[in-house]
Amino acid sequence: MTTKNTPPPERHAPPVALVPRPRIVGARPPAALAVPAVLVALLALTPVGYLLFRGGISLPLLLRELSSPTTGMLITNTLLLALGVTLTCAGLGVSLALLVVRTDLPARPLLTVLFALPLGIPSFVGSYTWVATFYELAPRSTFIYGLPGAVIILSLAMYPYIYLPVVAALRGLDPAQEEAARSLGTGAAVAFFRVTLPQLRTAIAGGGLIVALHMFAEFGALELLRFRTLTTAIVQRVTVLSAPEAARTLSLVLALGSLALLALDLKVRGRPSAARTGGGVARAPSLWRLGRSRWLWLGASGFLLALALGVPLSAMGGGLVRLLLRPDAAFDWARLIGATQDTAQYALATALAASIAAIPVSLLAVRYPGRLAMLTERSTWIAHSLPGVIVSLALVYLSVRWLYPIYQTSALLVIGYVILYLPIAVGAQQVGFGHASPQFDNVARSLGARSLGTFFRVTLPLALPGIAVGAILVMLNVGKELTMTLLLHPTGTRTLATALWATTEGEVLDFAAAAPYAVALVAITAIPAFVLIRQTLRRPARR
Amino acid sequence: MLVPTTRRKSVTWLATATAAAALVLGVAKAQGTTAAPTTLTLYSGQHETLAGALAAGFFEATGIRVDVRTGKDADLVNQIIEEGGRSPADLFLSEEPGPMNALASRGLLAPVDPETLAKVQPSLNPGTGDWVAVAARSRVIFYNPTLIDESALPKSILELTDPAWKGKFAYAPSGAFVSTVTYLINAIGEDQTLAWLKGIQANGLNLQKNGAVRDAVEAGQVAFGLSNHYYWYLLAQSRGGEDKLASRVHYMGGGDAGALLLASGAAVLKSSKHQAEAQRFLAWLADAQGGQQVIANESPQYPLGLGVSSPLGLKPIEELSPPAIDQNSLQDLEKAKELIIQAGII
Amino acid sequence: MLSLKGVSKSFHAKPAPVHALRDVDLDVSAGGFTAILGASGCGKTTLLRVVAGFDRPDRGEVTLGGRVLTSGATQVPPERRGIGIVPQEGALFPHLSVGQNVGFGLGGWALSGRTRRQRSERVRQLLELVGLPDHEARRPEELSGGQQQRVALARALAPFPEVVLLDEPFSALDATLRVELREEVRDLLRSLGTTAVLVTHDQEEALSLADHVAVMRQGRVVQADSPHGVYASPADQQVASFVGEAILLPAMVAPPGTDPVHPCVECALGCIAVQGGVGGSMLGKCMVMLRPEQLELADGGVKARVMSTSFFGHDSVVRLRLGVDGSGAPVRVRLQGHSVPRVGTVVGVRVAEGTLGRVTTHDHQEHATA
Repeated sequence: MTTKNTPPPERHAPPVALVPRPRIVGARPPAALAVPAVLVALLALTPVGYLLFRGGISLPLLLRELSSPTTGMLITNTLLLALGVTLTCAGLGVSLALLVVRTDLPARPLLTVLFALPLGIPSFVGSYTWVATFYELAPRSTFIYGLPGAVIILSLAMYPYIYLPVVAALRGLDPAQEEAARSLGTGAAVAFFRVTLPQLRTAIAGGGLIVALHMFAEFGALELLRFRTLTTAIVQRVTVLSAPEAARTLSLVLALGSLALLALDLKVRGRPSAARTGGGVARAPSLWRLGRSRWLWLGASGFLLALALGVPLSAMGGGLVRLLLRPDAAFDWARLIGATQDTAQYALATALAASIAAIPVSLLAVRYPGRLAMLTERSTWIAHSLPGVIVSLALVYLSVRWLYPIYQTSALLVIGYVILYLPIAVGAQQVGFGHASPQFDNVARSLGARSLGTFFRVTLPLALPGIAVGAILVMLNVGKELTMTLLLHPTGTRTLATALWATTEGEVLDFAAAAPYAVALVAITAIPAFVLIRQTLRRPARR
Repeated sequence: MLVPTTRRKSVTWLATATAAAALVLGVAKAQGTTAAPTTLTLYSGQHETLAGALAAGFFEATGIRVDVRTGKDADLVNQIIEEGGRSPADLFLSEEPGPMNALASRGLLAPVDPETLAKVQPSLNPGTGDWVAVAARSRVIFYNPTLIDESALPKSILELTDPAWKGKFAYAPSGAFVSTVTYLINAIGEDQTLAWLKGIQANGLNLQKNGAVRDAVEAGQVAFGLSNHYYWYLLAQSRGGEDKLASRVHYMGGGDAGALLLASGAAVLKSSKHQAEAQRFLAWLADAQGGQQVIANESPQYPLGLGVSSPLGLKPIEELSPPAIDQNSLQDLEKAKELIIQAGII
Repeated sequence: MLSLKGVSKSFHAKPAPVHALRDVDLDVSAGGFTAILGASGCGKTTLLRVVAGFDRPDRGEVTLGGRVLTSGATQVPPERRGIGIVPQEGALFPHLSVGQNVGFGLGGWALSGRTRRQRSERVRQLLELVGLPDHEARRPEELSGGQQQRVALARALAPFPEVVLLDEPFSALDATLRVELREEVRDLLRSLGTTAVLVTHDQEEALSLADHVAVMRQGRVVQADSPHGVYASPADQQVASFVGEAILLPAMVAPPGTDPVHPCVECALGCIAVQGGVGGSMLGKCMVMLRPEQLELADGGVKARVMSTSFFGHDSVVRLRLGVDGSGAPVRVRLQGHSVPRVGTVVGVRVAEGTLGRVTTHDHQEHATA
């Protein structure tokens, strides 16, 4: 060996930032972050603790439940429903996102917003209107009952959870990557599947997890659609048989299922990667020309919207008209206004509380990935998969014994909502904190800001768009929540969802009485849904 | 100059500020509602309009306020059980006898004033006197005359295990269904009851809810269904008259299990700190001039006050000929639960 | 004076722990401009983070003007060190305007009217200093890369830091701008008397800007010297190759000659006088290091074949292989003139008159620990 070939001074090695560094796994999170995160995770796990320690659960009972002739069928049904709805939502969400982001479909800006609006329609209202519409148009048809009906109707309500993040991710992708793939000799479709789709994985998996766990916990819509799952069986054990021990036992099976799903999700998702490696301004990608088929696609979009929005809205509108035409129109408007106010207050208070509680968990997950972060983050998801009635009973039991002063106050109800919807906030916040690079923290510290000051002056403002998205999603869900509200609301108050439920108590599908509440509910959820869409569609500021 | 640049964050800041304000308001409001002189809290599984009318009527009669907390029967029972001795509830009003008995068997109910018990038809009161029957619902068959003739309906629900009925009828595993099973265990024994449940499960459509049974019969999806008379009359009221419905009600009679008459009960919780006022509510509720009038006028149930009858076209209670039972015998739900789960119905 | 003593730091990583810093000793003189030079992964960024207080070393001590910053249990937080940092690509806060970025270190929200006025005065002063007056209200994304770096520097200087750390701040800029800006920055820092530590992988940058260069490799400072010292007397072959272009030729120590200060070694280019002695190679084989500018083309020299040439305007580099058939050792020659031999021709090459080579050792420290 003689002369060594050193780079001449005129050329430059690539910037160090692009050179992969060993992944540092041992960075210890500060206690000021780890302790709150663990406390929040423990709060989120209280329903599981209740399941395990409330008593009445025994091995013989577990075996009896497992050997019951329906349990196998219920597990299969639950899995089929979760799989069917998640896949349908993924298919719908990705296709619609592609239509509005990557094609020259007419009226794209309007469709972009319209496609997201089913988010504002509670799934029990959605299925309620479907059942009513079928009774009206095809009374003897039983098409909507059972698995196919449930998959279709619930997918129409849930797909925005995948559509919105995919739209955002598609917009954030660097079109140069697809162009590079094209220049390497791949066709447009192949380039999409090999380059673009893998980068949407995180967005699809994130939304898909929410959808799947939602399906684990869904009750109201499934009862109407006559489809039995583990959750309908659990709820019936509580509400019909008064057999809470059996319900808790079966809930454990459900919790185990959600643990498996959470682990699977970690595998599918992989590690999040920066969408854009270089600097530079985001360019709009080249659009796929649909040619003549654009009208076909437009028609298909219209059809989808007719199903997802048209059916519920027309049923509600019809009910409202009938109410107003009714001769003895004695509708209690004050009650409607009161319910709207209460709903808005609970939604806003929960959005605030859940956002604050989610911050340590999401910050830990983004800044200090490791076992502790993984465990705390995953812990927040489990309650989301449990039937609302179980989570509520857990809170009744615990608060009556140890927090009696807040029992049946709005405080406990808000805590309950926070437990249910924490993961939604955590998911959205992680995207936000992903934008707040720790480098900014370092700079702020070197300029004399203390760690708390740095958090409020730098990290929080940078993550605020993501935090806002989470807060709005929580708001939407709280507005729609029924089961927990019925059990935990302060006596004398009612939300739009419980007022709506009260009109259906006699199990009469009476849209004239229900319509004002349903319309008000959709109207006030439409506001946050709209803000959410605007927020999601805003281009990421940097990186 | 340092220019404040709030432009793109303004929406989120606004939202945060509103949320904070709402939180403060919400807390203030919650505190505002807690202080009040003797107010009774009623947990009600009955329709909200009925419960509201009862509270209003009682207030008018006595000046005592009643806060109503509405929910599903069994949800409320579970809630009271989990609340244990610290339940905020003074009173419980149910739709079915089962939930009442679930509370009574856990010793959570205070004995009802004997004078109150004497105000209603004695046959539906439980022998224990832990609660008072204030209304009743009859098990019936809803049928669609375009699909089946009334004369072709089964004479007894025990017949339904016959494969000839396969696919012809619907049922729902409601509280009343559980009461029926409890009755059957007493009447025909555990094995026969399980066999009957398995037959029902194999032949009938399990539609989860009584309302769904009624609607499916009304729409002609199925020829007939087992349910409570109550649901049919609610639909009739909502449609503006019994003649507006395609389906009809068939009362089984003849002491058949399908003609069970089930009591809606009211009780005072042992943990209540307002025992006297709560007993007063029960007394008013059972009174022929008080709560019984409200029940008769506000809901299609059988009022049980002596001399009170429903203004609706219900088959008179004297002609129902239900099986004779003590409502209290519907207490032991354990076996019924087990059999229903074992038969795969829930 | 900024001083590091026995600083070590390792990270748990897969598959094996990374020893980012091993027993680093370094003195940075007050008011000077010191460059930390090393390839990526050598630990220079960790060194910077330890000095700034972002990372805590496993062992060792960091002091600034006699004040202990890090030692044992003592760990002064970054915000109380008085050490500013200019990160790669600036890292301007994207949610703040240029003025707010610069004023960031001058107090938070709660300021009295007077200090608020003082702050805006300081911000204006600094933006003028870095040549960006009237840019206060701009958003960071509206600035070019060079402007962003200037703002980042202004931001770091605003709170009057004792030391400014520059973390490859120029690497993302294009060539002309890079040279211009870094000289400007050096002059500015020098005029303010601020101690500066520049981390870079670019030897040209390090040699041209700094008055002190510390070369790092695998977590160690292998040489700390003046730029000239590092270039002319590299500590070992790796430093020789990293700092500038090096020609390394196997040689034999010649018998002691007339000049005891500059003994001779015998190599493919003939007998070469070396400085700094021949070390432990007194009686045998060694390596001799020469720089391309120490060679010249001359008809009488050793025959070599021209393999390729590169023209740089101010000079040219000719790559040769020794021997008429071009089978010998590769050698580079830097030519001042415009006439460059054609590829494939045979030329003569020799060591310029009065040039001293240097006998280098092969990385003794790594062998000791490997």
